[in-house]
Amino acid sequence: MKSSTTGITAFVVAVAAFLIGRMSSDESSDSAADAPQVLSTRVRDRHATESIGPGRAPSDAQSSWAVLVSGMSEIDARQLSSEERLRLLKRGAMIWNSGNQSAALRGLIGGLTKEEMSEATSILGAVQDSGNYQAQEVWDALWVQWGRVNPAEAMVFFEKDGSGKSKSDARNMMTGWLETDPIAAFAWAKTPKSSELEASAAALAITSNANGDPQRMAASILELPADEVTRKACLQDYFDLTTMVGDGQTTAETYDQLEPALQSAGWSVAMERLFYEDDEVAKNWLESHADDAGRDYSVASRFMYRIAAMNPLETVEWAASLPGIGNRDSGAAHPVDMAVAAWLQRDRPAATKWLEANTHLSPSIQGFLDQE
Amino acid sequence: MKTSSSLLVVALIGVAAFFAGSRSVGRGDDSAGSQPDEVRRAGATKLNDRDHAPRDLLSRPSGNRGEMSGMSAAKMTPEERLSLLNKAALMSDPSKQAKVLCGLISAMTKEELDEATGRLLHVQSRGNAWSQDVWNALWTQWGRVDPEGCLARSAMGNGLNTGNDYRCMIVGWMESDPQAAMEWAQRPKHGDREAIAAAYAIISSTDGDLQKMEGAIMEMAANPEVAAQCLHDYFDVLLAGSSDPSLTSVYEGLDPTLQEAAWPVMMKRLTYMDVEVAATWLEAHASDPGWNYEAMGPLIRRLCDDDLARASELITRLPMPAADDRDALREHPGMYAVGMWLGKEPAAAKAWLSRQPVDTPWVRGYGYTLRAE
Repeated sequence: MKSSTTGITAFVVAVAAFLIGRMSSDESSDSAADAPQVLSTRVRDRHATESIGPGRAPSDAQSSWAVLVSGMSEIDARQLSSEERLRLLKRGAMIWNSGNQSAALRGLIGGLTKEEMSEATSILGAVQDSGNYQAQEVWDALWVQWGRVNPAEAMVFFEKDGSGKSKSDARNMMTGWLETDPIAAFAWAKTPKSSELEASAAALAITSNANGDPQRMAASILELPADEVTRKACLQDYFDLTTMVGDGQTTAETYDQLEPALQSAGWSVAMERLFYEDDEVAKNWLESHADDAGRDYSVASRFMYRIAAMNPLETVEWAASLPGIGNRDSGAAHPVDMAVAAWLQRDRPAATKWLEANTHLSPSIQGFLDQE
Repeated sequence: MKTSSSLLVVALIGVAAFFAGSRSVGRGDDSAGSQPDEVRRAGATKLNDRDHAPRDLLSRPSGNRGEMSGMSAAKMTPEERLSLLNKAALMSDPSKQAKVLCGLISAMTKEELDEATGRLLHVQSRGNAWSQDVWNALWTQWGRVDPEGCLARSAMGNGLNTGNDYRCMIVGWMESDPQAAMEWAQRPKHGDREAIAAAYAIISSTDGDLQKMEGAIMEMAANPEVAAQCLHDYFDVLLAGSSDPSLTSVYEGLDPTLQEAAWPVMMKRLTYMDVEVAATWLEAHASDPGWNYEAMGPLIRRLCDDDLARASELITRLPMPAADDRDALREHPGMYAVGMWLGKEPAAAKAWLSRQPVDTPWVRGYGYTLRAE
């Protein structure tokens, strides 16, 4: 073989081998990353071939068992007719065991179309009202699908009646919206919000673009229009992030390092998280930050009630020392109120005696006595 | 150059190029940080795969996309896992939190689970809500590594709470030691929640074969709580199938031994499926073996919402307790119906009550309202 021929051949082989190597690595890295999902997809595909198939429902006990064990895939669900999906949804909603129900319905819900969402929600709600509760996973899947196929109507649905719906539901809806139309979702998120449900959904969109970078997330939050409810919701995500990223900051550290413009909204977020952790740490932080601009004693009510139930006299006296007790023109809550309420419930004579000796502290103290 | 030498050179170049090509993909991933977010989002699966990441990155899931696979968690020390669990326990977003916690929990040992469970229960009691997925993962892992310990803990009120919790526990147990799980399932159970777990083990062993299911349930006839939960699973399988099963026909076709266990199951399920069908079925089967007042309660309450007079008529056709059965005053669903009627339409209810036999629970319980006239 001539040298020139060898060179050309070598070049062609090298290019081809390079490309083949790249493609094979692509496939293997995909399959490595997706290993558990691929396995489960295969299992579902097998069931699909054997039982469900395009346009067909499961046809025997084994295949219905397979639906309960592995669930129906979204692909299979999409191949059913609208009537079949809604019929299967209604029957699935009747399944008693929440594990069985969740397995049977999650994939099916993932195949619902925009036109079916409203009826699907009514079906699940009606069966629940009749006494068979839907598994939380079923509702989660429903809100995600609403967000995927009809976020505008989903938002109206949440705005119209927030009862029985949680921030988590709203965020599930946003998860679906971000999957299908992140630009529209982000644009909606930046508009001012009036409810905590909406704000929580908006916060997921706003903070999802930070890619795990706290500085970037803080900048996104600062760019928001002045909307306290969304800002607070975003800061929940910010505190989540700073807790988990790197070595993890404490709640107090994160609050101290917040941009001054965010600290006010961050006060109640920090306070609430500290209550989850440790009573003494929470008390010390509350005491040292009780004069901060963002102070919001209302978030402390449950905490005060709990610690006062354990140690009433000490808690009431400590709470009474916190600033703002005498300045209650706005009717704002003060930690001493909840502490006294807990004490009255536990030991009315002792609490009343303390109240009688401390009426000078606040009009609310006299208020308790007036109710006696 | 000789042909053989040329071919050897070409082959070597090809092999080298192949490896260069395959390694270039990895470099592409590393540079993903400079891509626009939307592009990165499309490739999120690869970015989230930290199973092959350097060790020091494993304890640092990126907050936004932070997911913790079981494999990643398994490479951490127990101290690292518990430290990360303590941090993740504070997260406010249940969905992101679950992505971290479920992976961590799936790698935990018996000793870690004890501490992790205490921590999760503590933080929940302070007001932070969890995704159900986290609890499911926790109880499943308990089932894998220490089911007996989990049951002992639960008996003291520090563990499994709902029937679904028990079911998750046995799912894990069936994975790690199916024989022991089955032996436990076949022993007598205390209450519905344990029975739900036992039923899962028993029904799972039938591989969806209805005849095998019926046989397995028959074997549990001496343990009606487990048999009833098995029948719930049996009916669930029928509902997940293609044909629209008529539960009432299924009941008629059951072996009489199973019918007895199935009675309360039928009553509860028919009530939420179709009140009219349930009322008709109750009238026809009120005295069948297996009937009980507790299972009738939800139907009577539903009927009271719609038509108190009708509900009160129906209760007269239910089996009557013995005259000296004081429990019937508390348990008989008719007591609820008559009480509601007296509250809402006292004149009509009292007129009806005055025509009732004196030995009925409602006259014994509410007869004083007539005497007070």
